[in-house]
Amino acid sequence: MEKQPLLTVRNLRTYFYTEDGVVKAVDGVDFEVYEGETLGIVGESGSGKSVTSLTILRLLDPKGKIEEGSEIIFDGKNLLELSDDEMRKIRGNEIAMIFQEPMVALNPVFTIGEQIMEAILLHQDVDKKTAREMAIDMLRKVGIPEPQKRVDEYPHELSGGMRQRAMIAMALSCRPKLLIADEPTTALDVTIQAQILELMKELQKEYGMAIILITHDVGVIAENADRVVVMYGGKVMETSDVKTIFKKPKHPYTWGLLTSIPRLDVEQERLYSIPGMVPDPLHFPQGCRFNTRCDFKESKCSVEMPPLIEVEPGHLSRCFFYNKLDEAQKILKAGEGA
Amino acid sequence: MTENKATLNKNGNSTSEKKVLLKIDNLVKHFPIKAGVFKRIVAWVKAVDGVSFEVNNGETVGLVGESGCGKTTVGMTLLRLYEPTSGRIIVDGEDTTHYFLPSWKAKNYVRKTYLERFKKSGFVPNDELDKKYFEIFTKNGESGLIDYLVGNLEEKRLAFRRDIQIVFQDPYSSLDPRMRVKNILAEGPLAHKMITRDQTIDRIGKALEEVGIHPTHMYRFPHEFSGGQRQRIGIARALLMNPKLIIADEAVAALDVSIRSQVINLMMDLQKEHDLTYLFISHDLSLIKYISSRVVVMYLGKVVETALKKDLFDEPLHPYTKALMSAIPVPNPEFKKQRIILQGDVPSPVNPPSGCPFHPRCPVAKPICSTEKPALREIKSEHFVACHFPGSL
Repeated sequence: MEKQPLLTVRNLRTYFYTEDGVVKAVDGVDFEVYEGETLGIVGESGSGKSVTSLTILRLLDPKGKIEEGSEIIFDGKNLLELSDDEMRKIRGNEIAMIFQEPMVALNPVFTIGEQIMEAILLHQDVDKKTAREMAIDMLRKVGIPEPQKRVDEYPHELSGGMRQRAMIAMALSCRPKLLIADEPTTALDVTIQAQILELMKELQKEYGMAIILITHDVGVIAENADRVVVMYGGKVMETSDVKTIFKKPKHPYTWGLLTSIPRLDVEQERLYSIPGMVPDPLHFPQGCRFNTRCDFKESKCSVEMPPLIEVEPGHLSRCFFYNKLDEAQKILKAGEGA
Repeated sequence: MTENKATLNKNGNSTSEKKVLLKIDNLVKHFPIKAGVFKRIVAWVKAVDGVSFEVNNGETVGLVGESGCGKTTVGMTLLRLYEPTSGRIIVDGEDTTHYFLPSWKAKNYVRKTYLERFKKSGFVPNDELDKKYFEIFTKNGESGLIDYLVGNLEEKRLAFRRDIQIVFQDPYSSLDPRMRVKNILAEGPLAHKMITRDQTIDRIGKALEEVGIHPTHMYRFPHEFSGGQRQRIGIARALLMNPKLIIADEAVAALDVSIRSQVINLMMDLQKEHDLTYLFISHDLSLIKYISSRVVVMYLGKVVETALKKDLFDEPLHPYTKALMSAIPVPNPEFKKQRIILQGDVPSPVNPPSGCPFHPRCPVAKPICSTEKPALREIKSEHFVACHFPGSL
């Protein structure tokens, strides 16, 4: 696997300067995305996962500043050094995004067709008629029945699942190399969620694009991602390939997250729960950001921020005492056996 | 009163003798769609269309389904935040359907539901309730039964409002932003004269402590709390009324993953401590599997399957239940499961499909499914399915 990454994010820091103080929404995030793979970013509200994706596309609101020293290298170009014009050529063309709420993300006064055509006309050298044909083609591809008719409908005329399909059609109309999907199925019912995720997988195979899948649902991550980044308090807490992280998590937060959800595949006596609350991004605790809620905490943790430690090749954890988790796992297993 | 309740709970909890706390009998709720200048009714949204199930004392029943299946409407109708279109809501062995009607309508309801049948010659009681009311009817006559059911309606309403409490989904809109937590929590118990003003601080402090919030925080306003804490306050508010039944409508859906398990565990601990009965309404099958003892699956205003938790998850018999289970993402990349991807969307409850409501999306539908409505029948002990071909998927 000596591939060049398609996207490299290095030391990304996005701060919001508000009246109450500086919100360090993203505070030193590193990760790569390789061609054709799905990278899952998982975290709770306030972990910085959505801000990360908006920063990649440079879609921050004016209060947000990308700090000096941050790097986003996409296909050999540093996106942070591009002019607005150059950025516009990438956005929607080489990197596309799907949002959580299709009703909010779609413009209610334009038809689905017009909105898909807008992207095509902007980035490709085709006339209106061809663009319309391409839009209809895209709608057919994402499984919208009667695309010739649907192309002239407005977003409110479609169901939630159909709207999300239309969003995907729009995002993929220019065959992007990278698709960022920010909670693409959170607003949908589970049976519709299954349809949409299946569709994304099929289209990924066909187009060979890379996907960044951002979600709070570890189940969605387990079934769809190749590699996983776990975020908490604006930092990457753990990253590894999907099988390893679910089998042998090496960060107490990841471990807590995995043991605190009700699951269909195993019997559970009692759910573990991570004590305390998600920290306020204005007042992160000293040292490790998770130390106030951690069951494995030692005095060092509240003084010093642990670095990302390579536990095994390709598996990084931001925890001094990741070895303690093995023991916990053993105790847990023994408890289950008894 | 409290003593009374304690003995009652003990009975309810003994496994040999189950006591039905809540019985929903063929509940129907249709909402009118009005249009035009004269607000003529042009169609009906059949949100709940003939739903029946029971909740036993001390158990947790999970009511599960996708958006638009009517699960929330069941909860709201049960609480009489909506008046049912038809059907009966029986709480603790008494018909409560007419409690919130004006008394002439309530009398009409009693005449129609019971007296008309009782007066016919050769009447045979359908169930326990019929038997009980028929006895009163034969002993005290028509006016006797009306008096029994409609007399003291105001008192009955109060008791009903005490006995059934709800915890809402959105902890941000379910607490009055202008009231201090203390006043939010004291409102109910004071109105029902369950506590005196001098006792408020003491009682509310205790209730907050029980849900894991520091008693001194009772002077704060809701906006000073996080989502998880607000949900705890909502639970404390329900608990303070010593309810027989707590309806939890997507009570943890709005919370973050790490906070969700805290609240779920709290609710389960409180259940053990207070012998609570829960009706847990949720779209999340994994959560339902964890928390409930019995499960009711709804689709498009109808119950499609109901069974004890273990039976349902070990052997789902309705194709919809099976598809729903296979659609839930399992947090284990090495877990192999049967993937059933349903086609299409949930149809509109204004124009539900003929026959079985699930047939347009059902992978194993046969011609009969589009013409004939399958009845909810008991296939195994306590396992009811509304399907012509149960277990075929």
